[in-house]
Amino acid sequence: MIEMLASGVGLHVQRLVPPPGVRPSGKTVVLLHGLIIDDLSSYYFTLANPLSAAGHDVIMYDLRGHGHSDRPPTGYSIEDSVTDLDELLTALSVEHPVHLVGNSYGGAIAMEMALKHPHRVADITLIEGLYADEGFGEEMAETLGILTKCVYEEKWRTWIAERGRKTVKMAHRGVSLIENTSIQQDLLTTIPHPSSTFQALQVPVLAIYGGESEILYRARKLESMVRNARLIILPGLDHRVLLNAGPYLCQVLLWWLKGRHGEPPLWIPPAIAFEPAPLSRALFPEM
Amino acid sequence: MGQLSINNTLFTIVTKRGMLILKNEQYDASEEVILDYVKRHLGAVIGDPELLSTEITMETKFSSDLELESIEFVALASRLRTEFGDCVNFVEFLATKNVDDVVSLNVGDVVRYVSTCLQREKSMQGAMAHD
Repeated sequence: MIEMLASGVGLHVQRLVPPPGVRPSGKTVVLLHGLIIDDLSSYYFTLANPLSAAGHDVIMYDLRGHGHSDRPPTGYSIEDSVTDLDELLTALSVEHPVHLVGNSYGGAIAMEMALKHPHRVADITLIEGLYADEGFGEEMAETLGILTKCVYEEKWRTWIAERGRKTVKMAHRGVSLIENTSIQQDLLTTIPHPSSTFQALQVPVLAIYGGESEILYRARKLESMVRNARLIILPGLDHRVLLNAGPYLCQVLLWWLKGRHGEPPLWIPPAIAFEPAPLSRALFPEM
Repeated sequence: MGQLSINNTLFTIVTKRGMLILKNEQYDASEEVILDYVKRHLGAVIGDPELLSTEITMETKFSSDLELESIEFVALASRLRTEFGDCVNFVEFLATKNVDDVVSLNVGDVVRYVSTCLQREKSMQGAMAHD
């Protein structure tokens, strides 16, 4: 574990170097997690090991306010997230362009980083990734509002309590992040990029979305805007692609990082459909 | 022969062919001693008084008994690496495990893994000392 300061905020960083006997690829992969109920452990137990075993230098960190990083009261705009990442790479002496992987909101950080600091980014992989287009801020703020509302609703309080300490703690920490910091306001006031900004993006983008995802429209929009985008849709999966398709994502990422020759590995949909994600919009038709 | 503490790690100083060698006493730690370290670090990671009052044994399961969050397991792994040195590499330990395996781990699995690492390191250092 490394404690790093970015913009004066202590960030919990984990860096995995290739194991002894494995020739380093010379490539650095930075894994960016999602908002509120996510942290670097989503990657630690899925993609991080196989990527480092294949020779890549793997960096993952808890975003400010998340996991074991500091939680300052302010500084949660997407620009702040990009500044944190930029300063973190400087602190880790990473000067060559990195391969960014972003899950959900982590995707928005990756895209923003490529727009603000293109020399820092070799390519991007979005896993159910968001990006700061028109309506992004409102959508994020609304999602955070739904999460908070759920935690206070009797039905969901019982549901959370029944799932034990882990879920209760996660819910409380999430709500505390929303209520005690400027995150909701910071996201709401995101200045969106017009399509022309994304159209000018030179960095190659691999975009992986679940076929049943609520944000699948983003995949289509991205494909129409970004000239260097390659889209992979995984039938049978919702927003939880990282959770439910870890081994497949490893194969795809290794193919992508190795030069993406030929077709990407074949996705075999799950035999049994996954339950709808807890706290997903599918469970709140009235909202 | 004497003892020296560096970063809270106790070393025994031995001389061999006129050379000073630092022997890490932790390499000889029994599973019982390692369990004590794991308990102490678990306590620091969890920081929940209610949970800390439950008895932790080799059979205690991280997920179903302690409800340890994934990020807490990452923190525990980091602490044990700092405690025992880079030879205790949980990345290697987890490399062969999927998410389901990790969820079903118990305290004894981690204690035995640390013990294996220390034994391996001890035999490697022993081999070097005999060169």
